[in-house]
Amino acid sequence: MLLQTMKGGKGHPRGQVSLEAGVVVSIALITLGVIIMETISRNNDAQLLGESYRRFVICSRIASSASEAYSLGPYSTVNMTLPAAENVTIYGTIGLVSVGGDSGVNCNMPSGMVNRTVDLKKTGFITFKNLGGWVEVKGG
Amino acid sequence: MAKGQIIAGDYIVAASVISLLFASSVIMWWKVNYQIQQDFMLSEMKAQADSALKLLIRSPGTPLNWSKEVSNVSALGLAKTDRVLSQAKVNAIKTIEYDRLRNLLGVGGHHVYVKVSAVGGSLVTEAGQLPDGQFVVNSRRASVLDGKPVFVDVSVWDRVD
Repeated sequence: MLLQTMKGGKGHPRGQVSLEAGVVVSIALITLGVIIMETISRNNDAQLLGESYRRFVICSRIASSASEAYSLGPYSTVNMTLPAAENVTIYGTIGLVSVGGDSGVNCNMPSGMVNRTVDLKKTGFITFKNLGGWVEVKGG
Repeated sequence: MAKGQIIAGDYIVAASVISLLFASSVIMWWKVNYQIQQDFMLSEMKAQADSALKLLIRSPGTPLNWSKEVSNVSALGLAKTDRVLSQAKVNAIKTIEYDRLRNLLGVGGHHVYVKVSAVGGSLVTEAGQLPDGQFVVNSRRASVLDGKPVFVDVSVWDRVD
């Protein structure tokens, strides 16, 4: 299985490279490549997961702020500041909050407190105002 | 054995060890990922249970007299005033259709169970489905019904196949 054999001065073989070694080195390189690809992929997954969790926390805060404004009674107001500007949609009649648009996250809140769909583009500040029986949402 | 020869067996052993290490790290990643997703779901369920409970004991619902015509309820609440429950609404909650109840309490795709009980433990009313899954979170608050203290429990639960 010797690919190449060079004879030294006294006839000893030197610098031999076997086919087995070539195969094994190739396998090692392929394995290393797979490891690097997997590491990159896992890193991307971790970043996506972190981003989803960040948006989920924002979503939960929006849902709980709407509930708080509703529970506090007529003419109470709850203000919240988002850590970063986000696209927020509140589907009040079905009780759904969406943060981050199509690639974002959704969370639920009790339905009926907000009586319509509210679309807030790149908002960093939200006001929830109880108008007696329902909550008005405004971005800023 | 000739000098300078590379023994393929050594490489195979080394490659096997590296592959095993790699495979175990991938399996560990999957496990950690699964744990994170579980924690994610449990924290979502806890937030939903707290929010639903707060709504029930602190708000009267919309319309204010929804217990007279349960089909008209657009937002759920059991209170006459803050933390003082209405007997009519406590009785009416069990007549709300289950999917509608889930929607009104904002628990999304999870299941929900609401229980009002006396301090001694006797049941006053219940609504929803009894928890029957491996993921259950419960929130409890004290309130007043007909001048007597009661506990209101909201359980949000789910089973993951």
